[in-house]
Amino acid sequence: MTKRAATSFSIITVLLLLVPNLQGATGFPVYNLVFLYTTFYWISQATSWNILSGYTGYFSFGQAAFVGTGLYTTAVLTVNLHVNYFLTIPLAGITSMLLAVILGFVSFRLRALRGEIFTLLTLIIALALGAVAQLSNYIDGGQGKSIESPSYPDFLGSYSDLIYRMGVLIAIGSVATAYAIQHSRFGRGLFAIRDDEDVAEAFGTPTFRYKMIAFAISGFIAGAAGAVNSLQLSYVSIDATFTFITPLFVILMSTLGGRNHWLGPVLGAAIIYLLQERLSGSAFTNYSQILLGVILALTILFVPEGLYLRLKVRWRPIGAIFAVLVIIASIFDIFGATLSDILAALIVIFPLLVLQRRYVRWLPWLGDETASQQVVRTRVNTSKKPERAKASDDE
Amino acid sequence: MQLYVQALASGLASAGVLTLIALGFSIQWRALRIVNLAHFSSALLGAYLTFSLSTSTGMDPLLTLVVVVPAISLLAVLVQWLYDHFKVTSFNSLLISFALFILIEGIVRLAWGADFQSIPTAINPYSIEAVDISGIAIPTPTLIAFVISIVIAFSGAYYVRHSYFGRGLRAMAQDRDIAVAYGVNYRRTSLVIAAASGGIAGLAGTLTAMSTSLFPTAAEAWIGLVFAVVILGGIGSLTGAFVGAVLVGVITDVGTTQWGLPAAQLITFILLIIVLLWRPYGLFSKAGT
Repeated sequence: MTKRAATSFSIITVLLLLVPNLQGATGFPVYNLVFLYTTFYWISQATSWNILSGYTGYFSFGQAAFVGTGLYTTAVLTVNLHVNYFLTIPLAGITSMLLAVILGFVSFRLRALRGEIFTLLTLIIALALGAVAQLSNYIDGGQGKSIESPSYPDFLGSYSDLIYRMGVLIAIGSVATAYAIQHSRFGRGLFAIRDDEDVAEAFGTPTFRYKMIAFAISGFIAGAAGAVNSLQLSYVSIDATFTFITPLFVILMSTLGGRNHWLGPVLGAAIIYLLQERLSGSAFTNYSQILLGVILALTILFVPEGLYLRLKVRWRPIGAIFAVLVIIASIFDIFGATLSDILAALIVIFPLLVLQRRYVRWLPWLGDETASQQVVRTRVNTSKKPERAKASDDE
Repeated sequence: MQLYVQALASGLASAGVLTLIALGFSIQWRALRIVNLAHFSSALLGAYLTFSLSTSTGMDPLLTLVVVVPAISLLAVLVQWLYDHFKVTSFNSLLISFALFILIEGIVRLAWGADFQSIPTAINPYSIEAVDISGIAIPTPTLIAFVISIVIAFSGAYYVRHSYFGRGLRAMAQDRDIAVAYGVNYRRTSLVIAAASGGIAGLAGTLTAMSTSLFPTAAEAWIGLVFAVVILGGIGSLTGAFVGAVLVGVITDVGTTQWGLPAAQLITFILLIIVLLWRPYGLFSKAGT
């Protein structure tokens, strides 16, 4: 990581850590802090997923297993063994990391079909772990477990401030890790694995070792973030932990934002969680699962490179429309809360972002690509299989 | 002892529905390189369609097959057409079919509710009927599924082995581009496979609706079981799917009788890991074929 990037990340971290103090001064509702925390939680989960699956192309459906391992490690250690809560966060990360290493050892050794086997194995590991937790009365036994709030020094602020700050630290830590990986030799190795594993191997990339390291980092982040989230949940149960919702969310977030870039999952997590949060409060709550499925399918078919890279090409017109929409909505008070205004504006500009250029040719300023932006586009297109690139061609 | 023999028999019989679902999933994976999670949604939709048709009209559930099988088959063809049209790669197929899976689960929950539902026994006499074989009772729908699955698995394997179409299929599984260059019609083959898989999934759905109660997340449990079946039997092997289903079914039922369901699931999972480490191509198929 360069000095400049390190400085930027530290400044952002400090600013975000100061947000709860601002709350004391301006008095915005505590709920916004919870909303922000959950956004950061999903940012760390999506980034964790992206470090393995986005960078190497090995799709994992096992996010729930790693989060669950982290959650239950914390639950067992604090409730059964009375270990200090703050100590359990790294321990939870390490347990999840061990699970990742074991899984990786089993599936990365295969030569043929390694991708598909890996994916399906991660799909059922959550079910198997759920069975283990169900079987053992020590871990859960079907009763669920309550997590008590730990004692901590006063200067850290109120309980919700504490949770928020831990969430920020984990999220920024994982995003910084993803950034550092992308800009290192290791990251280039991972991208090479995604493009063509056999060729990468032939050119000297230690593919097995790289995949194991990426998977281990991914598992560690997922487990540690899960341990922090146990405070927010305060009650851990099997059904709520080992679900399909966690992998659905992280895949959706990373795919929507863009799997080739460290900022993709951050963008995707912010959008999807905002959408989910607004939907679950409204009359559309029954449709949210259907809507998420539709968004995922449309994204894969029409924006395979992700919104982040789309935005890079079209940010000026779309940013302008977005700002105008938000201002109009908030001035005329059409939707009420600020978050709803932003979401409504996002929904309006979504087609402009998603549709390929041939469908929005009647908006000439969407087509203006400068030479440097075309470079971005070509790089994205060539990173995929030739037939796929042809299918998603914008011209 | 009687208890275990009963568990063994019902495990054997429950292999029927598992085989039926695994057949289509397995052959799509091997021949088309598409890991079609939406296949499980097809079976789920088939089950719910049977439930609705026979509850609303009072029709014999077996008769609903006339509607369910073509309908689900058509749906599967549509999905396959989508994959072909967008030239979906193996990995993207996983993602898109996952999206479809979630989507259909949401639709089912919206349309039929999240509660357990089953066809009333007045309309569906099969659910309480059982065939008695020397003191061991096997429910009629499970037995029907078992017999049908044997017929389809073995005749299908024979067909793939000896027909012109089957040769094209096997060529495509080895190398799609070369097979197409030598005159195998990829799109037609893929649509035919999708239609057959969908039809069989619909059949499995009907038989499920006849024997148990339905709930929207039922398909999630199938994924784990069918994956185990396909890996144990070897990807793309039709007879292997049957043998794998018998193994998984017997382990699940005997294990559940002895230690309870979670333990049985765990045993299946551990067996799966061992097989993946020891014989990644399945217990009964040779490497690379």
